[in-house]
Amino acid sequence: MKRALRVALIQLALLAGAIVVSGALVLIAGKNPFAAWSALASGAFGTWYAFLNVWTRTCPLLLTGLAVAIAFRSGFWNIGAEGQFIVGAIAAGAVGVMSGIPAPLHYLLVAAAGFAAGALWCLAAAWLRFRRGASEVISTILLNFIAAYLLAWLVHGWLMQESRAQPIGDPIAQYLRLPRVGGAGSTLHAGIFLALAAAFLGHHFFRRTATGFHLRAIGANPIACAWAGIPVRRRIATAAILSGGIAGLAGVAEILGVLGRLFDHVSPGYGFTAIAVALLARLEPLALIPSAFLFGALDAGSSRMQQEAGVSGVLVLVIQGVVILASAASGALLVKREEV
Amino acid sequence: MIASREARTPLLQTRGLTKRFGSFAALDGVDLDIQPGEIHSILGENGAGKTTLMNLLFGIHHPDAGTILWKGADAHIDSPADARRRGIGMVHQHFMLAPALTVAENVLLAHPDRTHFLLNRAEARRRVLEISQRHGLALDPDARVETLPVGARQRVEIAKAIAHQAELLILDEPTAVLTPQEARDLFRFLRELRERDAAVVFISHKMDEVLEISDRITVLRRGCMAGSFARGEATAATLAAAVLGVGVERRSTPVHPKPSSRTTKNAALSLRGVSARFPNGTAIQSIELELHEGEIFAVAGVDGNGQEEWTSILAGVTALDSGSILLGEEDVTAKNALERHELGLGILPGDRARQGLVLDLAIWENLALRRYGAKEARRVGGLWIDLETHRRSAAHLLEAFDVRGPGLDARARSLSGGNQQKVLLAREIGRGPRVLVALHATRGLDIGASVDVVRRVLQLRDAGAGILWISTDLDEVLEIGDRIGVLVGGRLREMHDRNHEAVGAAMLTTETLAR
Repeated sequence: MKRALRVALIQLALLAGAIVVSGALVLIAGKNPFAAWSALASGAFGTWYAFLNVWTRTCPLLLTGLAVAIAFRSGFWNIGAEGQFIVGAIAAGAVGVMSGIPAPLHYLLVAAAGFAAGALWCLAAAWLRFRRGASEVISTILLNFIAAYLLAWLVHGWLMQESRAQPIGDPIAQYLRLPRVGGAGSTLHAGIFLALAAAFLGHHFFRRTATGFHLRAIGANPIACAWAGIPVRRRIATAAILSGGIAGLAGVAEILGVLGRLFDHVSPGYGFTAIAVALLARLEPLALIPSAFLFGALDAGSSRMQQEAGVSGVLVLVIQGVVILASAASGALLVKREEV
Repeated sequence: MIASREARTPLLQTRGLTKRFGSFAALDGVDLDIQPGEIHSILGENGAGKTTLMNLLFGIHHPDAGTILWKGADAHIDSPADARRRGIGMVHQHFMLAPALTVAENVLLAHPDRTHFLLNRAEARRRVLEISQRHGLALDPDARVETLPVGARQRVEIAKAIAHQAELLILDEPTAVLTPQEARDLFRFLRELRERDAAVVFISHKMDEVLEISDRITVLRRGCMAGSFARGEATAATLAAAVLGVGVERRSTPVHPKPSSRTTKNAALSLRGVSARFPNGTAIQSIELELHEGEIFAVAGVDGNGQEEWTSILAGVTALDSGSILLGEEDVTAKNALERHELGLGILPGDRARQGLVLDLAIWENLALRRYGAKEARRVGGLWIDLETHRRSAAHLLEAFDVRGPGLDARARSLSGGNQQKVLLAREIGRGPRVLVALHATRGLDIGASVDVVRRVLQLRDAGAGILWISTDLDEVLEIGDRIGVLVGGRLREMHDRNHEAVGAAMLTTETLAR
């Protein structure tokens, strides 16, 4: 427990450092960093609805953050949560507009399609690594682009609304929409409970299942695992399926809970922010909850900061970048790339 | 010319050359004389200081004491570049080539022409062709190195080393990666180089090669000169005695076990024609072995003769090309590492920190590594693991194997080498396997920990298990083996003569050149 506390303090210091660095940049740009921070804070926490909106953003960040954490802990460097989120959303948007399916079955079908789409997207990278020796870091990044352009192409084509008025999809069936949380005017949906439950399940997955334990061991030393008889490649493929599938589910939740239909941009980069979320949480599933909430707040407050303090929302990306760099420097990203 | 050789100034001399790493003297007061037109072999076991000596001559390390004389004058060789400028070339044991570049580009890389800003590729091509013709090296300057076989890659290294009229060529175990035919070609080239009055320093631990090619042989043992022999003075027996240090004080485990009393005629492990070829060029060549219950078959051998590869085949980590493996009566050739373990095979891999333990997991998790998915420790329909079961059995193992230390939850990394090996031993033999395969099981351990490991292995033998004990430590092998063998060039030879010299000579002999 003492060790956990120490780690938490280190991560908080890391975050504080990131905020100071970005504040310095605001200063250099000739603006008042304190005005910027206070605008950001009031944008995130100023009203009850603003606060609920932070949770709305936390939902996709938590799920994609979990996707990244599962992959990274297994030594599979999935940088493709963004692409997997997008194909999950495509699957939800495509299956969600079908008609004539009983509601409960339709729910299941949408979720299964989103999970499968994300899982396949990630598994493709694992396949390329095992069959062709291609680094999954590169292939998952490239698959992000393919997913983004696939979505753009689809909403201009097959999945474009029937009226052909705009490059967006038709609304999904009304009964598929996730129930609202927090009353009228709230953007928060029941998907947040799914995300929180997933974080708890992830925690127990690593501690209490054989597969989860094997993945942790493989992430730490794949060679010793091979010598101990753990089927290393099969386990990594499992990690890729879970990671991609969860990122795909995040896309499903976004369509079902927030957007209600496909747009040609369904993600403001959740899958990328997810990397910072996961690293700040040191890849611990439970620590993802505060970490995702924090990045959700930064994201939600940034537009207010832009309006009131005149500081570009890009600043939030600077904080993400510093968190990732500092994590890399502090050894959390120590890449164990010994091939098996 | 031959007659006048002795009268000339030596090309290179060392006097009292000493190099320490920490408190360990890797090289201690070495006096070496290398004449022009001489092939001078340096013979010694692993860790005898051969490579350290070469690194000093090539400017990679700097001596702590002693001097190097180059053509009779005091020379401080600052760096490999400095060594090259003086006319010293080196071919490392592990190739230092850029695979994606051509032969000419690799040669250019070693000898950048600092007078020109742009690379002079045409000149590099011309030079490669010239070297290739003059020395019969058969190199295509435009071939990409990654497309070349190992023998040709070595010729590229040689071309790099002699591209600027090297007068001294150092080769660090050059034949380790070569086929017999390639080795013969290399020797022809070295002899031709000698005719041109260049000197060659040839490092090896293969005695027959050394006897075949050398004009002079210097033997190193534990950093010291253990003898220097002119051509004709040395025989396999005198060299083996010098290399292994007959009669010197021992370094390994003083256990003095009684020979096994319980050996049965039942085979615990049988290998039938086990062969495999590895990407690094090592091959395991039709190994036949019948290991009985209650005996230790101890295998000596110099590192790099296939020990690592053989162990990985037995463990089920790498597949074999042909042959079969039987545990007791059961054919396990097609079974994976975990299935073999379940059938009673324990493994102590050669590199315990890399292949044995997951250092960043807790000690109890390492003890459970092979058993985490086991049925008896599952709950809730088989999905959930019962952590308490694992922790309890880990606590028992730690007590039984006397691992005193930071407790179950500490990371394996926090343990000493001896305790790490005990944890590994506990995991692999804690459930009483029928067969234990141990590679370098006492390497790097202090005497106390070594004795402890050996005692437990002897207990396991006396309980009726078959032990395959693979080691580079000849004394240890002779002491604990009920039967002994030698692994050389990927072949296993059983030795019925337990004579120190005979086994030592077998360790250092490759049959490849004799045939």
